Amino acid sequence: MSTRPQPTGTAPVVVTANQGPSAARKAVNYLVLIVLAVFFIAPILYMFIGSLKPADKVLNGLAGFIPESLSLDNYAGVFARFNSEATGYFYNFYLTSLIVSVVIVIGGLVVNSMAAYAFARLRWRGRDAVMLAVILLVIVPFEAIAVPLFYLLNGSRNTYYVQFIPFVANALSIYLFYTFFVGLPKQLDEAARVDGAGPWRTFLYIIVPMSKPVFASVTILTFLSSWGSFLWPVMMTDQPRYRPLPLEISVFQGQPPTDWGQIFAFGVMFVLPLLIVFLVFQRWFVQSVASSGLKG
Amino acid sequence: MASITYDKVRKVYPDGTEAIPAIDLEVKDGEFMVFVGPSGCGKSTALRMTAGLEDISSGRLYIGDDVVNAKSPQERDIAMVFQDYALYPHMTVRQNMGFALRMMRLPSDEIRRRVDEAAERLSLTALLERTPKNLSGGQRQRVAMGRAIVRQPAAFLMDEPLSNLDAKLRVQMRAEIDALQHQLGVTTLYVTHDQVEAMTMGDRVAVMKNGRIQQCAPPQELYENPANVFVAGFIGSPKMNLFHSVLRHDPDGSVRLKFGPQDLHISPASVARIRGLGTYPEGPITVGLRPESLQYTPDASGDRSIDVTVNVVEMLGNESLIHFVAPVEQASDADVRDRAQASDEEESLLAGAGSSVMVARLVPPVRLAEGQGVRLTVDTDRLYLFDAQGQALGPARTP
Repeated sequence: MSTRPQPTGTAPVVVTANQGPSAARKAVNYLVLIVLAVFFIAPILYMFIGSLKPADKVLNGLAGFIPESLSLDNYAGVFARFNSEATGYFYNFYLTSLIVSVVIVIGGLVVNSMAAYAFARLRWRGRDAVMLAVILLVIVPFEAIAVPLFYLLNGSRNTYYVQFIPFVANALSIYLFYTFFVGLPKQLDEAARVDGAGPWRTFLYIIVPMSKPVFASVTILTFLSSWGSFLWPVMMTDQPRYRPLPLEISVFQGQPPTDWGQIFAFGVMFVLPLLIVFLVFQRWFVQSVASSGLKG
Repeated sequence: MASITYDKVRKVYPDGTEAIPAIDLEVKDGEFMVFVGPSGCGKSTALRMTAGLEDISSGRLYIGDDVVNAKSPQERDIAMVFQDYALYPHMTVRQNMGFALRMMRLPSDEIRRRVDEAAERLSLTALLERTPKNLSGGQRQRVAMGRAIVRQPAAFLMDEPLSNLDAKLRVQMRAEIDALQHQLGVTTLYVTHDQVEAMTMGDRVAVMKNGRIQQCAPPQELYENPANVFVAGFIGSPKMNLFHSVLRHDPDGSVRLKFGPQDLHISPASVARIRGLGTYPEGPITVGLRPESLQYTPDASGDRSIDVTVNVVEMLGNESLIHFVAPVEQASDADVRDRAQASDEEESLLAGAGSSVMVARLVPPVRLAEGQGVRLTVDTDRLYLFDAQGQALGPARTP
C-alpha cells in the first residue's frame, strides 16, 4: 500500500516536468519581454501623446495615455517661445546640435576607424604602448578633463568647432573599431596586398565594406552621446545662437510658467533624430551586438 | 613569366626562432615546383617570403633577374592562392576576380574582358554575379584560381589551396590545377603537406624539414632515389618500412642483412649497383623496404624470404595491404617518427619491444587471416640502405 502511490504519484510529475516547463517558460519569457517593452515604450508614448494635448490634460496619471483634444498647438508654442534674439531661435538650437553631432559622428568614423586600423594591422614602433594608452583613456570620464579642457579652449567659446573638436577622436570608438578589425581574417589584407592594394586602398576597399556592423554601432553610440551632450556646451556657450538642444530644453523646463505640453513637444523634437538614426542603423547594430556576443 | 631563385635565403623571427636556415634553389621559368613537408617545416614561410608577406632576414631572392627582397608584394608581379581562398566576402565573383586589375588601374572594359575570359576557362561564367558565401567549396577554389590567372603574373604562389576540399573534389581540382598550369606555362610554387598531391602535381618536388630542403627532384626520382631516411619515409604511401639491421660481407662479394633470426641475402651483382655498399663497414645499418617490394610466396624458400605474422589486413579492391609483425627494430630516426607519430606509436604498441609492424602491398590482393604466419619474399634488389647519418647509399634501385 505504501509503495503503490509512490510510483504513480511520481510518474505524472516526471511527464509534466518534461513537457510543462517549456511552455510555461515560454510564457514567462513572453511576459518578461512584454513588461520590458511596455516599460521602455510607455514614457516615449506618454511624451508623444502629451505633446499633442492641452497643458491641463497632460500630467493626468494613466489618463495621460488617452489621446484626446489632439493638436499641434504645443509645437507652435515652442517655436513661438524661441523666436527672438534674446531667447534664441529654435531652428538655431537644432542647427547647432545637428552640425556638432554630424561632424562628431562623421569625423569620428573617419579618424577613429583609421586609427584603429593602424593599431590592428600596421606595424610601427610603440604601437602596443600607444594602444594601451588609448585603452586607459576609455575609463577616464569626460568630467575629469572638462576643466583643463575649458582653460585650453577658453579663447574659442561660443563657436561650433569648440563643441566638436574635443570629441572627434574618441578612445572608446577606437577600441570598438580595433576589436572588430583584429577579428577580421588577416588573409584578406594579405590577399589585397598581393592584389596590389597598399594600406590605404586595403582599408578603403576591403576593411571598411566588411565592417558595417561596427560603423553602425559607433555611429549610434557617438550620435547618442553627442546629441545629448550637456556639460561641455554649458561651459563653452552663453550665446543662444551656439547653444544646442539639451541646454535649451533644461532652460525651457526651468522657465515659468511650466507648460508640460510644450516641454513634451520639445522633447519629441529632441528625441526624433535619435530614433531616426537608430532605425536606420539598427540592422547592423543588432548584428554587431549579436556577433560580439558570440565572440564573448 | 620568370624564374624564381633563392640564394641563401634565411628567415629568423624577431624572437630569434630560425624558421629557415638557408634555402638555395632555382625554380625554372614555367616550372611547377612543389614544396612539401610536415607542418612547421618552413614551406609556407618560404612561400610567404616569396610573396613579400614575410621579410627575408638574409640572402637574396630573385624573380627573373631582379632581386626582390625589398619589393612589396604588389611590385613582385606574383599572384597567390591562399589556403582559405581569402575571397573578399562583400564582393561578387566578378569583383573579386577583377580587384587586382582595378588596383592596376586598367580600363574597365579590359578588366571585364579578362575576367570573362578567365571565368570561361574555369567554368565560372554563370557564377560571376554571386558573392562567395553563395558558392560551394570547389567553386570558391576556382574563383581563387581565377583571381590569380586574370593577373597574368610572372608566377603563381599557392599555399595548400586544396586542403579545405573533400577527398573527391581534391583529386578533381588537383588535375584541373595541373592542367591549367601546363596550359598557361606560368612558373608555379605550390605548398602542400600532402605527399600524394606533391607527387602527382609537381615537375619537381622540394621535400623540406626544419627549414631545409632535404631533396629537390622530380617525383619519380624522389621515390626511387630518396636522399635520406627522412625523404624515404616521407615519400610513398603506405610509407617505406624502415628498420635497423646489421650488415655482414660474405667472401663471395655478397652482403647479408640481419632480419631478426634470419638473414637477407644481397647478391654480388646487386651489391655492385649500390655505390659504397661493397666497402661499407660491417655493423649497424638502416634498411628501407617499400611495401611493394614484398611478395606473398607461401612455398618459397631460401635467403630472401622472411617469416612473419599477419596483424591487420586491408582489402582495397585491386590490392591488399598486409600489416605484419616483423622481428626487427623499427628505424628510430626522429624524422621518420615526426611524420606519422601516432601511427608509429600504435604500431610499436602492437609490435612490442624488438619487433615492429611493417606493411606489404600485395597485387593482386591476397586474403590472409589475422594472426596467420606467412612467408614473404623480399626483393633484395630494391632495398634502400642508409648510413648512420641517415644518408642514402646509392643510387641503385631499378634492376
